[in-house]
Amino acid sequence: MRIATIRGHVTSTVRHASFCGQRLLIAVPESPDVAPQIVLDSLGAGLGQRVLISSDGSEARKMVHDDLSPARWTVCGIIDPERISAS
Amino acid sequence: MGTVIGRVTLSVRSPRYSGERLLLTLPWKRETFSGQEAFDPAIVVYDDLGANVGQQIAISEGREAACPFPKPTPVDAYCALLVDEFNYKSEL
Repeated sequence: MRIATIRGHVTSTVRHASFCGQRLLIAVPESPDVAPQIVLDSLGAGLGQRVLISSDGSEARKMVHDDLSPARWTVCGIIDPERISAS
Repeated sequence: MGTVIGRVTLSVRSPRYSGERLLLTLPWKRETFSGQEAFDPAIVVYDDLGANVGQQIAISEGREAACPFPKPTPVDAYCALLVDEFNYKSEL
């Protein structure tokens, strides 16, 4: 799993059938050597939010209800914002 | 994500392949999303959707690339979707 920031989204008409109706976001991992990934999101992550993404394909296939899906990356949580103390 | 730059055709091939289109594709780096012409070395991507040269595609890599095939198939990069449009903010 990786910590990443949501930086955008992708729209597509011609796609594998399993992606129908899925939110596709561009997540940029915090480690600088890793390329941005397109992730499936069912949690409602927004632009600029830090999220936890997972490359577990079996979880992705469950999410799209298709055992033959090529989906790989999913958002598995939205990281709580840092607390700012008043002092 | 990646950009298609060409095709690969095979006369002699694995019996598990049938009717395949193989795309020569440049995988994107972080800078590519902000409009720079920087790419990783080209890879070959299996395609069922009919991507053309110049098309931006989303690539599924690793074990998941072989998932769309009912029988075990030696594929490690699969064209999952053709990108119509993407929106990316490098600075927030």
